Amino acid sequence: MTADASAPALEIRDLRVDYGHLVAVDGLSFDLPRGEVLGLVGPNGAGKTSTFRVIATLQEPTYGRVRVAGIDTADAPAGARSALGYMPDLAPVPSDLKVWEFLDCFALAHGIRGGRRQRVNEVLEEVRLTDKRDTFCHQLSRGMKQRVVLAKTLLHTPTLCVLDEPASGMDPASRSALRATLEHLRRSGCAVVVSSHILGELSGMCTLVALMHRGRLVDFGPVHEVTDRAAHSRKRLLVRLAPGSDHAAAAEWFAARELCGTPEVAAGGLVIPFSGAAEEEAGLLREAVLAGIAVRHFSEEGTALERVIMDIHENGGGGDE
Amino acid sequence: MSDPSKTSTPEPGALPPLWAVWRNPIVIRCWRARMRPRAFTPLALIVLLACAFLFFFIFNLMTQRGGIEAERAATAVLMPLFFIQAFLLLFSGTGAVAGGIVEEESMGMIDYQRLTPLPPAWKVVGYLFGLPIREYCLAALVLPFLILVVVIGNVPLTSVLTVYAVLLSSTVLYHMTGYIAGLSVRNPRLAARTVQVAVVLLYILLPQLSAFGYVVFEHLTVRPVVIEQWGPLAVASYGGDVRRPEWQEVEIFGLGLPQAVFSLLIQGSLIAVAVTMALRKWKASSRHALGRIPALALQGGAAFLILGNLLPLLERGIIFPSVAAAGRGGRWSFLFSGEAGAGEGGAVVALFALILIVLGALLVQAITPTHDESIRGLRRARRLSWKRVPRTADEASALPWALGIGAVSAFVVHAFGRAMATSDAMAGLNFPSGGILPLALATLLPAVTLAAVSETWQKRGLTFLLLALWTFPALLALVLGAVSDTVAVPGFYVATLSPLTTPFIAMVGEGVAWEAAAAHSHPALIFGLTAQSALAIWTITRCLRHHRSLARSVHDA
Repeated sequence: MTADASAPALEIRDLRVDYGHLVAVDGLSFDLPRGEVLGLVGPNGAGKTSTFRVIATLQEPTYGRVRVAGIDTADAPAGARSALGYMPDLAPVPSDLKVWEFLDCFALAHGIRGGRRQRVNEVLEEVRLTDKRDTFCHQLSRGMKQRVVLAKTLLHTPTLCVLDEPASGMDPASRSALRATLEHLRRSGCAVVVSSHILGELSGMCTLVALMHRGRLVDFGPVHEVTDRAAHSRKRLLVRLAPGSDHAAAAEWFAARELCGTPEVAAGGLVIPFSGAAEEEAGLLREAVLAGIAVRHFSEEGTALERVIMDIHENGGGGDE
Repeated sequence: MSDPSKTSTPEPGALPPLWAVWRNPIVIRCWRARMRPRAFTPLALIVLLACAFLFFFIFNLMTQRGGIEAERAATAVLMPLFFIQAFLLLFSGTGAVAGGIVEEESMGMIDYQRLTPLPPAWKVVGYLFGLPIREYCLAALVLPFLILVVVIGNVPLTSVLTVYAVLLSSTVLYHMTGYIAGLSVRNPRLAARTVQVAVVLLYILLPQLSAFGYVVFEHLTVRPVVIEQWGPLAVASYGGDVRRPEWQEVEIFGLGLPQAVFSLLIQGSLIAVAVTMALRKWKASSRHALGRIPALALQGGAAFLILGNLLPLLERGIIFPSVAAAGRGGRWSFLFSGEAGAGEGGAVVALFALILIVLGALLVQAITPTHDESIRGLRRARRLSWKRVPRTADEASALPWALGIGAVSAFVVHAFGRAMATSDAMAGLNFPSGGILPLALATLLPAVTLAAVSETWQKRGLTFLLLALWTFPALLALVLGAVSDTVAVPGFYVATLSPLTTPFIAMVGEGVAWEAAAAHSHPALIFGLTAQSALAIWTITRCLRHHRSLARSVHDA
């Protein structure tokens, strides 16, 4: 079975994965068009890795359908594998092969015959590891090993790339390279599904985001829409005061404001639940300064996506669950 | 960063043919990893030097000092050189496959291979010939010396080809054992131990049963064919009396087959089963290694194959150890009377039952679903509006299939028991014909009980069953029997509680030397079978209740 050029890169319908009585993924359904980068986010145990493994044909679901480039993974797993690249969490590499040997073997397994060496060099350049071509895999740092596996994932120019925690173990330079790679993939029409605990990274990489909690899809859409929806419901402000300030009095003042919840006195400042928009945030700061509170630092706590994750972790999400 | 417009799009080409092993991507990967000159050269030198030493030492010693002609001296080197090859391929190679596949699994490389579009058969062949690539190459280094021996010694080419065909088949069979264990057992340490146990059991212990008429097990190894083809040559090279062994042909239901053909048939069948299992695991790692229908077919096939081999031996009267050993001659033949007793006939039948019970237990265990699998099956069936989980699905209860496996075993054991009772060898002897039907029941019950316990209480229940109800009574009975005749009688009753010893109690007849055994065998058998039947019924009831409870929990969820 061959890929359907008009079909979305990924279609998931009513996906369910069980481990005994534990429901890892429950009724998951969404489409991912080509040329989009989807961030799959959720706390630990949300069902991200199970979803990834089912998409990658490594695990059979309890029920539900997954199509990669129009190919049903249950009916034609080999066809689906030709169209997808999967990079697992803590991506392992063989200790007994050189980098080029490792990539070359997988290029062969994907049926790449002509120009195999050129393709290996290209993907090494893509992940900025050309100088490590003749190095044994076990001599690489963890971040480099991640990049080697990313190179392996890209060898056969898949229609869909599934990357589970690709940034873990990478230094800032490698993360920057990863972001560039994802952007390059997106521009070349490849769809990418990526998960990461480094949520700040995801915000910059993704065009779409899917929020998962306890196996269910809580929210799905463009990053700004999802974060806006969450921001409107709950925002947390971090306010740091000048040394020697009376934190208790300041907390009492903030608690009395209309849009503020009860502040928590955290190390070095106050964390205040806030349900206003950006203008109201500015107004609150102005009022606080006028009230004589010695504000040294005033910001939203964490990135937008981090807040969303914290929100669904603490409250089970407020979306369509 | 490369420009997308300049990136070459790989063109998928045709896969190399399955037989072109050297072009298989997994073989190439293993070649690169295991054939680096730094690691291979020292080993190659050791093998070459060992072969050179053996060849020149034996050859020169015999020709120059012993005055033996070159032709006979050369054939004397044949066996030592073959032994080196067999060691490399069967021992070292099996270790490489088992260790390699476990390492690949634990490192996550197997998952990478699953992700490639290579068909499962290519993956099976790739690992099967890739992981032991170094051992194949080392064994190939022995070939020049072997060719020299064959040429100088005028060794018939047909015998060389025959032996090597069976050696290759044995090698593949041994390697598949390691392969399956590595793919099926997740825990690396447990997988390594499983391989060791399987190799010792299948290729060292089981062949010993050939002394009790079960020559079929000897054909799991290369030994009978080597002895048949090269044994006379080796004896002749040392100036001995060239005798061909009596059992040049192996019979199945009256059809005579050459040793090599029979070996290839047995080993080929097992390789086919192992390949089927490996393909299943490659298609989906969460699946059982063996499906329900293949498991039932395997039990039936193995039972009928062994039966087919036993019946002609029974007809010729050489199934009995005492007759076969006396007929073969040799230094210890005076120990054997050359006549079979009723006890010996009963023991051969009981042993057959025990073999089928153990094989059945292994197969039942292989097809029994875990709780997680059962729940998954029920949820899938509910969602897809099926009336029930399909009977052949891995998630369905294994109980009906265990019943089938037990029934096939019972039927074949009964048939063999009847054949033994009516055989010429047992004519006029007190063969315990009355024990045949209870023996069939004793063969049926363990499979069902094992499935019910395993499904209901999972690993914990299985361990308890095997240790407390199968092994412990058998061992206790042995101890009681050894202490004194007085406590041996209760030991007799204890022995009937274990399916491992019940078959032997069922086959105790009136002719046995120990009168108390003859007197108590019947009541002990009734006691033991009643207890085992009660246990089977109770566990089946609990198993059915367990399934109903699972179905309710899925329905309520």
